Amino acid sequence: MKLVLGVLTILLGLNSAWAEGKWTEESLLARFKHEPSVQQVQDKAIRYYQVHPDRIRDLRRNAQLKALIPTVSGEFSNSLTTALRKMHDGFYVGTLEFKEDERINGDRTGFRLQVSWVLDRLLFNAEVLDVQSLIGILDGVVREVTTVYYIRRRLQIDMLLRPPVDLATRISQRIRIEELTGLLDAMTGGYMTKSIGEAKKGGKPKG
Amino acid sequence: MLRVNSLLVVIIISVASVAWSQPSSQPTGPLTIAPSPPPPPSTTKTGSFAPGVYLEDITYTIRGAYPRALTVSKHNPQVAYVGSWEGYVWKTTDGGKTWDESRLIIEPRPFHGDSWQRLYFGTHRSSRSAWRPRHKGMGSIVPWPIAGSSKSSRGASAQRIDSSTGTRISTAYGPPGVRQRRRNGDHRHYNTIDPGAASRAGAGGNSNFGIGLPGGAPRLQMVVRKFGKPTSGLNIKQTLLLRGVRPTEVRLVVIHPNNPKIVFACTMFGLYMTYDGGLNWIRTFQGINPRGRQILHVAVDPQNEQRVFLGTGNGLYISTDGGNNYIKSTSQGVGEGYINWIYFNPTDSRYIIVGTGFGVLRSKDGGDSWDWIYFTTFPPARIVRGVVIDPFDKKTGYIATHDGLFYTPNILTGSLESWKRMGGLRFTGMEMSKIEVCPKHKGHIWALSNMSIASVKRRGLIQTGGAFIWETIDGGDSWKVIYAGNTQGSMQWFDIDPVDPDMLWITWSRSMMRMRRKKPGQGSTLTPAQEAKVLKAYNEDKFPTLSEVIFAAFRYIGIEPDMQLKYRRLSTLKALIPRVDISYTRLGFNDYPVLFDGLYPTLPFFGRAEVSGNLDEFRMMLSWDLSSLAFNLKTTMFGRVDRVSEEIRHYLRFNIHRFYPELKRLRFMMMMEPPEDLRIRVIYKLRIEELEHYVNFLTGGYLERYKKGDRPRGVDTPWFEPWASK
Repeated sequence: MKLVLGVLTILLGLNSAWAEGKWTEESLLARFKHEPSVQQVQDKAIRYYQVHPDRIRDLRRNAQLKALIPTVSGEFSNSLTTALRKMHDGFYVGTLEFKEDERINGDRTGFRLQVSWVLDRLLFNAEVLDVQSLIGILDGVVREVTTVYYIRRRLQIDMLLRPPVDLATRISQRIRIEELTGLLDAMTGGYMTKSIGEAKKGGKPKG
Repeated sequence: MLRVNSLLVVIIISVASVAWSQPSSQPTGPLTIAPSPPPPPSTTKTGSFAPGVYLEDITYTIRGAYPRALTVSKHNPQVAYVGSWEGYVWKTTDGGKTWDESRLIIEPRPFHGDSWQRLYFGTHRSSRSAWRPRHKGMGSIVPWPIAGSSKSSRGASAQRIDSSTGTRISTAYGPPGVRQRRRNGDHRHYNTIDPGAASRAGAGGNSNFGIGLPGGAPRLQMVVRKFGKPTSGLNIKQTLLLRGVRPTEVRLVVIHPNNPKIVFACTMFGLYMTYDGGLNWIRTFQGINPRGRQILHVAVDPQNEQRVFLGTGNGLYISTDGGNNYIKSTSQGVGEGYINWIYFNPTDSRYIIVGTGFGVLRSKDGGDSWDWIYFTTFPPARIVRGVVIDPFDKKTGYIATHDGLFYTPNILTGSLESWKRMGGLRFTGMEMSKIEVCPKHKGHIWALSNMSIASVKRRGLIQTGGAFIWETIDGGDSWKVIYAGNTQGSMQWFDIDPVDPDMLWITWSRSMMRMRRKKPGQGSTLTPAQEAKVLKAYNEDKFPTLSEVIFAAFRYIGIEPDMQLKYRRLSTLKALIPRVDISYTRLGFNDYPVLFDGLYPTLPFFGRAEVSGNLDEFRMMLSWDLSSLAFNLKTTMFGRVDRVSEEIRHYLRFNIHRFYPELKRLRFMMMMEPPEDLRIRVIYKLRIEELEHYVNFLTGGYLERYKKGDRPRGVDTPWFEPWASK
């Protein structure tokens, strides 16, 4: 048994060396041409997270132009009034109950429209900086996606150049690649798997 | 050929037979030490004092995290593991040239969202200071949409109430905008967050935060999303994917002495193990309380691999089934407290030495009973971080404490009085984290020091950056610093190279290095013409400097200091711009006066009228808030403009500082001495591609433009728009 195992170990080691020997840099990297490029994955991820630079630019422009949009307020009022005026004659004191008694009923209807501009925001609006803080998320997303992408790629290259000798390790590594693919899918809305699937069917990965 | 193969098979089987043989049962009777051959004399040609020793940076293909502890495999000198502060474990199988990563994730972070689509995590920061819940059980941070902003200079307090007595146990104060709320009659108090407060979740550099923009009109946004249109705000669920998990500090990685595929990772949230050489990790021990979850050390009995000793913050745990299950030791001395280091005597594993937070204990019976062999009333000196026995005389013991180094001539039978200080007063008061003895040269010892001082800003100690690796070759009489790290950061750990034990693998907080010895005749493999070409490429601006790349990123994002000064200036001038209010009022009225004359009371009325009219008013009002000319909070050094800008700049600076130098080093290495191994060469090429993509992304393609001769330097570079070529 030990003899068989020893022979097997040698043969698999030789196989690994032979596996590495048949590859060149170009052929190795060309093997993954059907997969989306890192730029495509990055683009998908930042769009998925809604932090694409175009969007940030739009938000920033909106923040800058916010001052041109006024605050509009409207008011409608309706009031009913009653005024009573009783005038007493000082000349004829005690003879008359009142000289004049006037009752005025009225109603008032009005509307008001007010438009306000806070023009100092045209000069500078601090909310622009708040928009820019999205750079932190943008960078985090890009960095994470890029890192996971290349971890996955290195693992794929390892599987080709140094294929594991035992089944358990081989399965573990395949599971790990699937895990990393799943992570990329989670950050891109399934783009990675979908794109690889389409490429295998004959189409090119869509940007 | 067949004969050679048969010979190889025989050799392999022989070696395997030796390796696979069952460990002998534990010896009984008194300890006997076999005489060792005389060690080779120590000379100045060992260690870092030897000529031709250089440091090789092995920090390639690792994301920007902080390495913490490094362990080199004694089974295979090309294999090493590194744990990090953020829960990563990296493994190399090619001597440090490339690394593969895995991550130990513990649990989701506490996350809360409010109805305004702002996200909050466990720690909350305000415009004043970072506030962390100082006491456990303070209650969760529950959002409560309170209109308006808090005006208090100090936020509400969060109190911890004893649920049984209702008395207050402790109080912590939060930032402005954090209010108290009592929940449904529960006498515990909770902190809530006022969404209108000045505090904001900041940029992604502070990884404890979730980030969100105020998403007004959430119902409208839901309707918009149903039509498949994008809405303002983030993909909150996916943000959680990236930021909603909490990693843990991997403080030590220990490889099984007999099975290289079994590796232990000591973390602050339990013990992790892998059975497949680091591909998958599972938590096998999580303690019974928070202190018990802090795994400080793990050691496998060299003579019985089923016995595994675990040092935690809550005492010593022992496993008798290879690490699957643990039982807490109830022996006096090791039943409680921090067990920082466990050392099995390699020749007789009945003798076990543990370094604890209260001195050193020794067992002579495999861990059943313990004696104190080192103790002091001076608190720092009794915190023992490392224990090692001299491999030559197998009796001299060394310990690393928070008050320097100590040794005893006989650690196996000596007692309290036998300990002496090493290095004189050199290490007095210094925290020594590790001590290691060279197995090749007697008297060749290394020690890792750190320096902490009490902070005036917050409780506890802070690291001062005085972390070094010290070396002695005369048994501890004289010491030298052999490594002090680079710029920002501190020394974390080191380990001995199994092939050349005079050489070290070193972990610094930002990178990892290997001490190497130049082979005779080793030098540059480039011809003088090639060297000149490389130097020309370096000197002739083929690669921008680090500061240029950082500034390019600042300009691309629009947060360079010039822009910041401009923002501050504009903020001040805002006071001169009026607020304009224009209003139009139209009022209609109808009056019906009826007049009664007192002289003629019998008349139904004396006179009657009807009055109606309209009023149109047009009003324009200009108002200036001139007080901002005197003082505007936003423009101060601690104001919003500076704070947000500095936050983003810090984030960019850190990332570019981390990745761009690696990119340059890799490119020069590939120009000067590309690796012969195809796999490493391909991986390095991919890494160069990865780093270039990332740096270009942050700088708007600055590296690409630089290569083509476009050297944008103006301060008026529009944000996110291409620079004009000069």
